Amino acid sequence: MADLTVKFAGISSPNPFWLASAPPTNTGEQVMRAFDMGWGGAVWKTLSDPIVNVSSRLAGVDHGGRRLMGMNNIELSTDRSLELNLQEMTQVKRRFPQHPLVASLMQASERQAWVDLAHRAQDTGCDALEINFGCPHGMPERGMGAAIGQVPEYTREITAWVKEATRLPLLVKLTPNVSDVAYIARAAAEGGADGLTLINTVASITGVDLDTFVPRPRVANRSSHGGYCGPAVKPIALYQVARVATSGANLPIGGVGGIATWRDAVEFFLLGATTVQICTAVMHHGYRIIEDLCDGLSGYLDDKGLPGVPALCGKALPHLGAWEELDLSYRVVASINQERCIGCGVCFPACRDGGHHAISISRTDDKNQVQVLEDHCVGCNLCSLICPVRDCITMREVASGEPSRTWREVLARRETKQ
Amino acid sequence: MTFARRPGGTGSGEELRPAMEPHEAVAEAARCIYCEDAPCARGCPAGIDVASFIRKIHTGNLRGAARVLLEANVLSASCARVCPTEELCSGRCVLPGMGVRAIDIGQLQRFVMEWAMEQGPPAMPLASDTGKHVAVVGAGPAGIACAVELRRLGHRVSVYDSRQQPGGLVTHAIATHKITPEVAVHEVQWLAHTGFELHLGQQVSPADLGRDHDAVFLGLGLGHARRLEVDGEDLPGVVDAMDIITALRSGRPLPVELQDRDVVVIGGGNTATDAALLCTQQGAQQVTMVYRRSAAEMPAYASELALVRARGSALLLLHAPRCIFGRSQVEGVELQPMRLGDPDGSGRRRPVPREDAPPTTLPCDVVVRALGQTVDLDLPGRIEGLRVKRGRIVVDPRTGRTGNPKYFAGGDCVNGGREVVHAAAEGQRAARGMHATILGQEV
Repeated sequence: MADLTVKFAGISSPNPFWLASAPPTNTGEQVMRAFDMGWGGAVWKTLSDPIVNVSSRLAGVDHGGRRLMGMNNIELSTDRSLELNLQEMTQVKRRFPQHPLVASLMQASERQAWVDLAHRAQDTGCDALEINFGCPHGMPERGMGAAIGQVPEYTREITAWVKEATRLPLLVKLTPNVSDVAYIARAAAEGGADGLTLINTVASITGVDLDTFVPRPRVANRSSHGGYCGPAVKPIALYQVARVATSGANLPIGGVGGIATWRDAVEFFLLGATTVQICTAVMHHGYRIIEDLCDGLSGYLDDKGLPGVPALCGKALPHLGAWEELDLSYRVVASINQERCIGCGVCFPACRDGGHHAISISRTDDKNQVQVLEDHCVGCNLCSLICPVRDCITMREVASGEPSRTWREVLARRETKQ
Repeated sequence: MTFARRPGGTGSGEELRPAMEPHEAVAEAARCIYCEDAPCARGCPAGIDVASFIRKIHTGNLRGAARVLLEANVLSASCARVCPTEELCSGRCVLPGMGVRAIDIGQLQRFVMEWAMEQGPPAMPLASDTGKHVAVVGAGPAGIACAVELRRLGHRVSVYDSRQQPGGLVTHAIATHKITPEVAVHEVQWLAHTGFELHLGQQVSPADLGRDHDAVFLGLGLGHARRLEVDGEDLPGVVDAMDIITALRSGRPLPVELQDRDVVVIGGGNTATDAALLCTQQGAQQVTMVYRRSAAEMPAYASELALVRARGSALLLLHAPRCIFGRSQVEGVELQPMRLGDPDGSGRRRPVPREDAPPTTLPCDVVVRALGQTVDLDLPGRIEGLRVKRGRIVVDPRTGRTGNPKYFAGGDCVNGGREVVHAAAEGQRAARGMHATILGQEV
């Protein structure tokens, strides 16, 4: 068993798996049960001014016969009293001193309100504060959540207010609903944040009822846009984490967004996250997924001969960069393993209509026979992505016969000529 | 469109397999990879665009799925149940090539058709009235498919059948584990919304029908059971498989007692397997299927044979009956061991008696003949120009037209007894042939 402990913004955690601020961290009973089952840390359901939640609140997107490829919600912050939440947080911290407990806070843009809330939260004995600048639904209309996190100046200023009011590490939770998250990340760093958590949910409408014309989730005869989460948002989250990791903000990152398995978590670590936070997968399967998250991650670290999670942090970043740094001379072509091919022919219309006419089809012995026309193949990957048979269509590297060159070099050469 | 729960009350209770629930159908449809030039469709004798109707289930377009099915095969509800899909469409599914179960096309088709039949009359556009009137003899799959297609093309159609119930063999002679008579009859009644007239319990003369109709379709089916032509064949206890099957289907008493009896079924086709299954079901002590060639030459589908064996029947290959013996009733069969010789006209290896092996006897109480059937020559025999060869009516394979240009034919009386889907396809083909002939068009 590999050592899974991590240190994030000065906070020690038994493992890198934290529960994100959401329904799974609504109550003390839940959080304590989660810690008993092995979760490393938890960010409490956001504390704010009293609100009322609606019924219903969630909507799902299924895909390929499986439930919840994505989910969106229109739930707001906690609808329990602040006193009750603080009291339960105190109890949890007393019983689980080794497990990081983080208070998530959201307030209107008044300095004193933020300061008061920060003081009361830190009195519970919690390990850090996370200010929620990310909620995309319900709260922005009240000047909170993403309304702040979409403006670098507000982010900087309010982060500074809270930083001044607390001795605890301060995390800022960022929204993906911005044109470039790097600006917000740098603003949070300038305001004094000690760590960044991202992404919050993606503004979304999951669907519309074709009979009633009411979008989902339905509240009486209306709906409202919500925040999208679950496996569908992982690619968005991975990009944003990598973007922040290379933004110059220089802060540790808690990665969030569509993490359901240890493999997902490893990808976040490789792109620069130190810990990960999980919500939707727990809402789908329960706290019990923590066993395989730890078990799988531990096995992976052992297999790779790595001492611990920090050894993974940012290891994919040297392989990621601007498009203009890609080698224009590199070439792959599709290669079909005829022994594995089942003759479904689906690659043919895909390449003809959505690719480059690089696959031919014929019928032999009543079976579809597909062939790659290498001269036409641009190496786009499409056929290998849609082929239903694993390892049947693979992309084979071929020598282009040209020296390596990037677009940046091409441009530089043009400039020298002029 | 929303998915209603699958309807009950279509008599599916006795059928071996329950219908799919909507969520099962959608999940099964989602597994289909929507092949290009899909092999499953090439395996369908009716030419159903299988991938297309399955995709429509997946997209929630059941109306469209039903349209695709009915355009190619109006008897899609029956065929969904009785087609040997593992030999036809599903048997060509590419998924097993990657280690995954083939799509259950029959069950998906059944799901769509049950939904469609719940929605009310079939949604089929009918062409405007041509003023022509066609008679269809036989309300079996070929006749009904022909009648519906003729209605679509705008002709007036009168269907005649000597039986009291429509559906032909599907109603009267297919083993209940595949389809119940209620389902088969209900399907015909549903299709009758297209406006063909159904005259049941009427013995008609095709020769007379030709005088007052623009064309006549013969969907007569087969009438005469083939005999073994051995001694003892007329002893009490020797019965035809069809008589057992039709008795059970119609609720009439069995032609012979089966409870606790030892039964020998002679034949290697799907009627033989049906009969063997029914005998077991009716309490027979021991059922033995006897076939004169080897398993490779058996016309019965492998899946049916497997079911028969799973239910405890024995299979005796390469044995031919020499005689049936008994004092006042069947006491046993004398069998001649056979070997395989050269291929015969059907391409299968011919059974030849083994000189080195003496005949053996197999004691039994009942002998069931399941050797196939021939067309009842009394009916078509009086039509001028109509030719019958080896017990089958001869037709032009493109149009279904017989030697008499006013008469068309299809189904078992033409193909000698194939699947329901073949009969349906031939009925539909003949309807188009008649349409072209009546209106003087080229086919």
